[in-house]
Amino acid sequence: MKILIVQLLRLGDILFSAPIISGLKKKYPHAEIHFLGFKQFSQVENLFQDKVHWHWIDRQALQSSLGDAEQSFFFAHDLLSQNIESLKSQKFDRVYNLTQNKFSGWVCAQLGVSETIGLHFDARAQVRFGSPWFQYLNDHMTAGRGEVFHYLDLFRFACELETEEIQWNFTRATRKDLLPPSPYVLIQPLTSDLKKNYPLSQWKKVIETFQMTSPGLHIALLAAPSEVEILTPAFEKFSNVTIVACSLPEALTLMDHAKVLVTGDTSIKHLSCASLVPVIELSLGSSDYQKTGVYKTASWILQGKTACSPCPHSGPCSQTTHACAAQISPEAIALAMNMMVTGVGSVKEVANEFHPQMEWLETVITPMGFWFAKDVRAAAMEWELLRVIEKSTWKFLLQQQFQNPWAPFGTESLQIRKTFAERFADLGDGRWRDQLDFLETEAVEADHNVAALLSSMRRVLEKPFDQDRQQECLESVREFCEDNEFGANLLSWLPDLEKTFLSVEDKVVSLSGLRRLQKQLDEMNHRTQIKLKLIRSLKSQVMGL
Amino acid sequence: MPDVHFETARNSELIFTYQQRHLCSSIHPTREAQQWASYHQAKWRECRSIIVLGLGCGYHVRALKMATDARIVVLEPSREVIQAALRVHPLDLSESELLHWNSVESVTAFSALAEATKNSYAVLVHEPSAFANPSLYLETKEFLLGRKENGLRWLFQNRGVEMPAIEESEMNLKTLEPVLEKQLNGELPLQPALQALRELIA
Repeated sequence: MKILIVQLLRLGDILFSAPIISGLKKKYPHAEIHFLGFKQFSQVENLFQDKVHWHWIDRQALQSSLGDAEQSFFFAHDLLSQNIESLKSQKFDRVYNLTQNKFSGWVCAQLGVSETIGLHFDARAQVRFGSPWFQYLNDHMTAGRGEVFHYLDLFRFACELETEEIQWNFTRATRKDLLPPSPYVLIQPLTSDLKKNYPLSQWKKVIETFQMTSPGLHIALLAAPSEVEILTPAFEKFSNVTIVACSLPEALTLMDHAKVLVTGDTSIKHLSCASLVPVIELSLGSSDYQKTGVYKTASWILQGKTACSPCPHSGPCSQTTHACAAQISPEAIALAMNMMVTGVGSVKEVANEFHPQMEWLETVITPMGFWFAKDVRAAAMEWELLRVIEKSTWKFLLQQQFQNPWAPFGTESLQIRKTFAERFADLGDGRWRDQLDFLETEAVEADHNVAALLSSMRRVLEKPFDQDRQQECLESVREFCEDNEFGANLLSWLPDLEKTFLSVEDKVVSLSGLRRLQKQLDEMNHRTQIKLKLIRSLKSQVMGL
Repeated sequence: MPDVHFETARNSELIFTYQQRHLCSSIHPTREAQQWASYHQAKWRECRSIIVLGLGCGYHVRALKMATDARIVVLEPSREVIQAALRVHPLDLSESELLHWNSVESVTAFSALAEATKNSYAVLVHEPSAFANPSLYLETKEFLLGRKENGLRWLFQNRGVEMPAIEESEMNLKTLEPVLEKQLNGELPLQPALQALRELIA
């Protein structure tokens, strides 16, 4: 069996694919794993321990040749065709496209593979996803609706690797001259995107403050070779600070011995998942921690509170000042570093102090198979339980467990209960019951509302020209949108529905709008059913039934 | 060959002058040729064919042959230079496609060029050779790269389709569409390649 993984984004995204490669290797031990990425990141060939057949597309050559009069007019097309021809000749059995963009979709469209998981185009140029998870990513997460899953969780679920252990099999390399004096902390001050950078002037303050509170610790600044020139003038006067330009395997070795790593949204952040080093992530600019936050437990994410974050990837910062970076005080970073290193101090208190300007989150990987970041200030079991049940509900829905009479609701609820019992040791049964009762009441109400709406829809479908029924249906939808937690999802469908009814007046029966709405309602129906089962299963465990 | 005079480079390799000009290094022609091939590597690295304008003493063609498996087609406007270069490298150049050309229009007659331009290719100018007729070299290069309308039309024809009626200023990715459709060939959906490229520059 030949499997191709397509990841046509940046270096961090390629590193991020490591657990998918390892998981597929474990699940299909005799399969040949191939990987397609952009050539500018081909240095990862030396980093991945798993045996992978690498294929590269020279994105820079493609793009530059399109505007280069010294190249043939057809060069970009010929080069891409050559790449595709070479990939086609491999005769892959399955493709996993982990890149949710059209370029990768068109590339996948040409590979002639019968089974493609992830965005691709069919012979009629219609978009296909090959998995409810990628459909969900497109329809809900990208549109800012529904529950946000970390990309790695989503990819693992889409590739059906949820039962495989998450492994980051990266190579380490040691250069004795590279290791700074111990003990040391690591900082990656720059990122590949200006918007994600914390200003160097602020980094200086972070270091000054940290050195006052932790004078015995050395600070190593990680840098790509091209970044050394930028960092040297800013930090050369600091004592106990070293700038280290190194390869990815060397950076990983450095992390293994560091007390803490502080980084923005960089490939180094994803690399750190292979190490035990705790991480403080600065989530700035277009960095969306909910989707790409550092995938390890007990690390911290600091994010400035601004209405514009996370901003779109394309385009420069829309603000006159770098507002999200300005909201994160250097003192807060230095304190976070100090607490992470020493384990002394109350994170909650410090986070409270800086709360008006920034969010302070802690990363958690649950036994239910997903990652999330929780606010360190609010140890609100209620909020966390709601999020976890939502995520589990979506997971069961997208795994189409509602069709499975043996769906593991019991196991899932047991894991939820166990997780919460560990996290909230003082959680009494009474508080559990109160919260579950509340959630159940809400879910039952939602269930009734969805059922009523579905019934109203069916009545319209029976007699599409009956204006009373149309009116009744529209009213129900409007009410539902206003009152219900699912309403926001449905709101975007309302104009479609109104248009559908108008076309019915013209005696042109266009039922596609109604059908789409019905599909949405069916999905909501399944969700409420799943949620109710999870809540009731949890309740029965709490009550010892 | 009154315009050609053979001599020995400082490293003992055989070279010649044409119209009293050196066409390659008189110190170490092989090393210079390797540097030339390496300098242009970004252009030819991914190509299946390389078209070289100007044969010179042939050292740069030999360097290219040693560096790549790509097909190499050489255009040279002087028959004397071709003969002289074949004396310098009788074995290495005998396998190359050496074509004598003297006008831009004449390149359309060469089937080797028509074949070479059907897939990825690079056009490299051997600068020391271009002194005799710089405009011929420049115009031929632009023609072969499809950067002039007549050249682009010829390239389209090589790929089996008529070039669509367009203003020169409109030459862009859309111009490629007919070629891609032709290459669909009933099985390979190359239209997506165009779509992919569009996404890449969007």
